[in-house]
Amino acid sequence: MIDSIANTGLKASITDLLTNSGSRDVADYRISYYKLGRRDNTLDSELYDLETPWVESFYGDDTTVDLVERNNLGAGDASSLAPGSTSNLHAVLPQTNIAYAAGVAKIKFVIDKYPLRAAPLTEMGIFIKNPLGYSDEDKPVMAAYALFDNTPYDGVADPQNILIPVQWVLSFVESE
Amino acid sequence: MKGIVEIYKGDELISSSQNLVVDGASEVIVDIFSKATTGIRDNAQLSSILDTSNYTIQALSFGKHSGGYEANLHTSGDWLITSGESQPKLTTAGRPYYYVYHSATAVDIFIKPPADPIAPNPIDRVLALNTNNDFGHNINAIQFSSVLGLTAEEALFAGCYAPSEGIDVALSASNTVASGIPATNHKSEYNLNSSMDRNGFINITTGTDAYGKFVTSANTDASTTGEVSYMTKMNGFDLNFLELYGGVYHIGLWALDLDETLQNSGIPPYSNVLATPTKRFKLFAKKTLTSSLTGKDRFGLDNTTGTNPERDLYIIWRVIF
Repeated sequence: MIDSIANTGLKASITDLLTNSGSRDVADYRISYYKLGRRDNTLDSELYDLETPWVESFYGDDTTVDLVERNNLGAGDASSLAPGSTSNLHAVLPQTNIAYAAGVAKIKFVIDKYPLRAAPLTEMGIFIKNPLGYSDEDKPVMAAYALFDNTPYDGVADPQNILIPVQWVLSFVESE
Repeated sequence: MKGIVEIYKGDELISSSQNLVVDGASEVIVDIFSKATTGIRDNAQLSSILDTSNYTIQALSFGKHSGGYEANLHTSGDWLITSGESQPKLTTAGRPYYYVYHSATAVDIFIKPPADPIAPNPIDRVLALNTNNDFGHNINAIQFSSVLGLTAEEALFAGCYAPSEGIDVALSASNTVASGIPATNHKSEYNLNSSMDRNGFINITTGTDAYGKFVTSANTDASTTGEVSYMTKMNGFDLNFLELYGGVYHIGLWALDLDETLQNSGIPPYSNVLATPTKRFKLFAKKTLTSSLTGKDRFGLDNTTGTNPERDLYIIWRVIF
């Protein structure tokens, strides 16, 4: 179990919702995508995306994961988020993969066998769907980020024969 | 996530401290980020449930510990009762009024502090348990006595805000009718502005004027700072009245309780209906004080300075994500 980092995008999205500055549709604030990737460098102070998101070939030709190209939101001017200049690959999180009760959300997905043959995995992110309410297509923003010291399947003899279930638990508590 | 409650007397900051975020806040925010929309999106009647206004902070309330609802003006002992009458005198010249007395001097009214303060807890769902009403805080019974089915006397004991038509308050050193006691007509700004419902919730309104209202604002860089502010401002008349009913030891910040509101009032949109409220609220955060917010040590207590701007109470509640 590792702790994830709540990101600037999460803070900006909830603030936009409370001030009617973002999308007026609460469905746009749902955690709807995730990304897997590899990080080689230290973390930035403000994190809006993975350092090296997986490309399609890492997921494999026969993956069951629904992959879509989306343009992430990142730091805009001093007062808002803004879309980046390039899109990249997002894995779609089915609605049924989120369970929530009593102030805790559990987000579940599975990393299947194929990528584990060769793909390096040291970072993950979950993304809010479309907090600024773009009408053409979703422009997600990263809500939380997790970094591993090592690829989780290091030391496993046959990683291509295992599945890695991920359960990402979100809760909101008072901070100091 | 945290909240800072700032209290101003006029322009002077007299207190700034952190609130307690309760479980209701986590529930509201998790709901936002995980709300399932299947079956709702395509239903024209139900789709209004997904409007973000149903997931925001919508009300503020004031309260005290449970023992505070059995003392001061909640009981008959502190009312002026005219000889030969068994209840507080309620009307004169067509206008309700009452006198408040204490055995000390008129300007040194003693408000009995609550006997049973209880520390706030993150699992709290109300400001205080075992109050004289279902809401755990001060209600607005005098303004809405008829819809609450209360007699005028019952409403006066329930409290805790002056009606919009006004009520005379005189601070007297005696509990007998005395001539020459200066009485000032008190009107609650919250009732004058039609911002408080019968259950004591100050419903959020648009605009930036917080006087007798509950409003929100955010700087243009709110997305970066993650800070949203909620504000209310009350004058000396509301301060006096709340203090005479035992003071204010709890302040509550409330979000809409969508599930409860759906069950009780059907689908949105929901407007602010004060006499027969349609909205149900979920406690988001609370601030508990060790001395009364409206206490005379902070604001004085008299019947002549109700409209003195230097004595206005201004609350800014900064919620920071």
